[in-house]
Amino acid sequence: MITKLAFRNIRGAGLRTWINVFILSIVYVTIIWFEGLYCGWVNQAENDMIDWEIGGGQVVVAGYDRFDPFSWDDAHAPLPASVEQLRVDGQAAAILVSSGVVYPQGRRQSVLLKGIDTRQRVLAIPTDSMAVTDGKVPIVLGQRMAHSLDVQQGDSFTMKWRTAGGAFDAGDVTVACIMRTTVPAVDTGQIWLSLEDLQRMKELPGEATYAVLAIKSEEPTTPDNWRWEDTDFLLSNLRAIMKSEAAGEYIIFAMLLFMAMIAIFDTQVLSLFHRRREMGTLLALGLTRRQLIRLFTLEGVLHAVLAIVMAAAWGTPLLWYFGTEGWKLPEFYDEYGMAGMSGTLIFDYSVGLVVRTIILVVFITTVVSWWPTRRIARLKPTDALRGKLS
Amino acid sequence: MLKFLIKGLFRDRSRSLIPILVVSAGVTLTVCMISFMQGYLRDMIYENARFATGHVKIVTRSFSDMIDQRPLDLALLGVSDILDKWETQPQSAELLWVPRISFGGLLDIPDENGETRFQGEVGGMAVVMRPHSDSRFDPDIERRLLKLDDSIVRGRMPATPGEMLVSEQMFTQLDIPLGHTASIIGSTMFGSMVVHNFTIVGTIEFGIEALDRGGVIIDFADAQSMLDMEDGAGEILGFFPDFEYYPDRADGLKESFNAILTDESDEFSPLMLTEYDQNQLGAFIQYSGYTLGITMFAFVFVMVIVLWNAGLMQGIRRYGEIGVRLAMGESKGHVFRAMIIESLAIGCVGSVIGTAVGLALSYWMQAYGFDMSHYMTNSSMMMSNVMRAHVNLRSYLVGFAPGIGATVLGAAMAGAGIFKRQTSQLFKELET
Amino acid sequence: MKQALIEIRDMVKRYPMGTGEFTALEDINLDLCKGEFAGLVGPSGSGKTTLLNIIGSLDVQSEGEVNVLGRAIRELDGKGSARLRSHHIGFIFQTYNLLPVYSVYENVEFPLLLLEIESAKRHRMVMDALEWVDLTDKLKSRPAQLSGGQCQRVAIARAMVKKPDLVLADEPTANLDAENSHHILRTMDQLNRELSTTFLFSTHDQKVIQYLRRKITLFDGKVARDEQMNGVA
Repeated sequence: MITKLAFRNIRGAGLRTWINVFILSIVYVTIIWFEGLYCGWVNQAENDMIDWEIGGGQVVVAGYDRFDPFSWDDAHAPLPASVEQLRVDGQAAAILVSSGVVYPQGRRQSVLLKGIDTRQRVLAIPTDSMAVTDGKVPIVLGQRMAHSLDVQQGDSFTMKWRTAGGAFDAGDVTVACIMRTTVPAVDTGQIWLSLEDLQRMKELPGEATYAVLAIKSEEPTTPDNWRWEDTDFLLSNLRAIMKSEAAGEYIIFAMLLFMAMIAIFDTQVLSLFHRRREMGTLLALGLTRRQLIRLFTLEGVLHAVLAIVMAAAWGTPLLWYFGTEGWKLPEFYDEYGMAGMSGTLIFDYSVGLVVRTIILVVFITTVVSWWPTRRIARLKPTDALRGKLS
Repeated sequence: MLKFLIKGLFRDRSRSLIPILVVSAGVTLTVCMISFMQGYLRDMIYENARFATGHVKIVTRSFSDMIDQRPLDLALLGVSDILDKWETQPQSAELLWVPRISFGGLLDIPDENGETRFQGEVGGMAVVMRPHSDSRFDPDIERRLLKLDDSIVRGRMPATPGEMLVSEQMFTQLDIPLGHTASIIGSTMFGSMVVHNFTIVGTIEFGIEALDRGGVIIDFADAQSMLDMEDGAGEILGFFPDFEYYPDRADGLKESFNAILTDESDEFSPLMLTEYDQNQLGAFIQYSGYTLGITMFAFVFVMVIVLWNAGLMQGIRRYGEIGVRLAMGESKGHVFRAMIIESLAIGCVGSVIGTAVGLALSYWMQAYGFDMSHYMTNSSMMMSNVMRAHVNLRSYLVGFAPGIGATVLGAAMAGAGIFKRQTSQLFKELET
Repeated sequence: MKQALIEIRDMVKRYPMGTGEFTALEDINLDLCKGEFAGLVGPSGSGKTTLLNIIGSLDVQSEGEVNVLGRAIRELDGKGSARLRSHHIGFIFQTYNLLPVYSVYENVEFPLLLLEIESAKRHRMVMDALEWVDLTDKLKSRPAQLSGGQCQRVAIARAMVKKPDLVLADEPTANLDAENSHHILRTMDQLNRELSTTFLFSTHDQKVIQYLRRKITLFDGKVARDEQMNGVA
């Protein structure tokens, strides 16, 4: 009965109700849109990093630091037996790292060389294309690297490296494939080639710098000179960034909610003031104060409920578009060097996200709607009938 | 009458408090976002200019095609001639010049027996650090641009030929003392191999991830002789004397320079680029402007709607008052204008409060900043690791347009609803 | 013959109601002269307030002619009717309708602000008006701090401050006790005599009726009787 009455009352307020409902629907859609953007990015970044770079965790030889070029040439060892077994089972990809210099168009450019198992299925690196050969060593590189070297598929150039013994050696390589990846960590400054080729070139048969394990791998037993880095560890940097990014969003949400709640609060205060006589009448008709509080609170909350319908009406096509077509990021996002931040970003909305948003907004609206009605508890029906409100 | 209106406005809290809260919140956000964006873009423009792009830059035409690689073989030669010719122009006085050379090479650290102890690829930058009798370039400009005195972590600036600075990060990894010898193994501008010995006299940290990871800095004259580049430079960066970037002035200078000095048939003839031409900075800044504009528009939109609603509710609260005023002979237009004046006052007060809060937050963000070094591990952008807001005159003023505009628009929309009704009807509501 | 302040000829007022119309006033013919102290008397729903609103140019008749101070109500646009009210007519309401955020002084001052009277003169006029109603000691009080009788006296001062030709008072005593009612009626009677301001009441209160010098009885939207009275004094 009270629900029906409340619904009729707020419909009676006409335009003002619909303005409130519209504001709240903007809050819903904005939160879901931003969170969808954020989840889409997080998912894309995490998935892409797992697919391209970190897999299900890595076993790394002691002394290797990918940000320290001086560690690149000395960090290598035969794979531990447990990892070697995983590799044979197709559950791991071994990678050997070396510094190198390339001379496209005769110009020298320092690079990081990475030799990877050609048979691996752990990472998305197109290792199959490394099998194609015309006598020169086939290499694979990312589109950023290809762009900065100004090379195309099929181009050949000279490459120089140092063997394990310290001697310089050089040879020609051919670009077998240019891969498109959103993960700069496997792209910028790097050249991929087959593990066998790099081991041969470096005179390091059977050795590797690290191995990437398949998704959902357990931590393998390793000797002391190898360390285990699991997925969470490898993603921790990314997640820290994501968190700081989310903080900015929460400020926007808070401001929007604040404005919407001011509108609801104002509406409640006004309807309490404006409908004193009505409240007196309802009390006289036998409603309890508690029922009266419930009625007025419910009227406030109904705004948030109706807003769900309105948000669904105009928000669905918008959210749908970003969830299917995505948002085409401008090219310069490549230069940020952030995983997932290039190409088209597909927004990702979960049921949980929508439900959480609705619960949040409805809950806050309930509190804000209820707050001013507390004074009903002190209301004297006789005063109310005469239009007084203490 | 105005005084009278304002008095009424602020005596009745229901009339002023809620709209002021809404406006203040919106304006605070506007001011913060603008200040933060200003700080972000300004930092970016500044960091890019001082480390990579200059406000303008002179390179050879073919160098500009492959600018990412900074190809030494396409470097400028005859720098003196180029600048002499340009400096006959009156507008040339607008710029300060610094030449730079970027090079790559193998850094070799020998042990006490002269055997290689470490060897690794490094990126090098040659800048004018030492005063040179026959040089037209002033070392103080680079000192200011690169903040060399502040950026030196240990040791000192190179003072004699053959001295070198290395990045602090790399130096700690190398684990050697200052004064140690290091060799650069590289190739000259003409492709022949060269080995040059240096003494490490200091370490440096710029707070820019892309530079601090690994790199060496040597004096420009040393680089010219090492790389066989007599009177040559990889690029010559030009700066406005106050080190602020003026896009329009830069465009004008570019046009006149290229008209005079660029020869379309000679791939080695000099070409001037502006900062916005490089690293897609122009596109980035434009895009940032759009994004900010859309966000601001959305917020002002919500503000207008909330204030519209607040205005409608005010109308209901004030039916009685409006009825009496009409009865006393005020015209509807007059009442409407009075409401607009009231909303102007609300908008001003809300904007002042919002601006004050926004500025306080922005100043805080300007003083303390926001450490972004996590972001930058893979970045090739010249961006400071710490993001700061930037407060300027615009931060003070920018909140007022949306703050006052939204309030007045909201009040006008609400007022229009009231005044479509007949006087007699309004009057009747007064009686209930 | 005295100068006619209000002339009403064959006036009809209808309101839309549901699908049809409701006739609130019909066949009204009235003249009111300067200095009269007259009342529209009748039960609720007899059309008193409607007639008062039309005379005050807050509403417009459906048929017939209404002239107030030589102006045809029907011809007045929004600005014209506002001008008529601000210069020549004062209103007094049953519920006082003071502006709650303003002090007594400011409430009385308000009509003068609309007339853009300069401040020294304004101050003098406000003080005069407050003296008429004997409220000079309450200048700074807000309406909420006053009794009902005091509020209604402020409302009278507000209506009288510009020395209008006509004061329209709609049930001015309905919310007041006997003592306060007599007090304000004596005040109005005195003002009527001293300033020869015309008063037109709408009322069904016997206390008011005994002060009237002309009693116009409305019944079912028509003038049932129009009689001269002696008044109390």
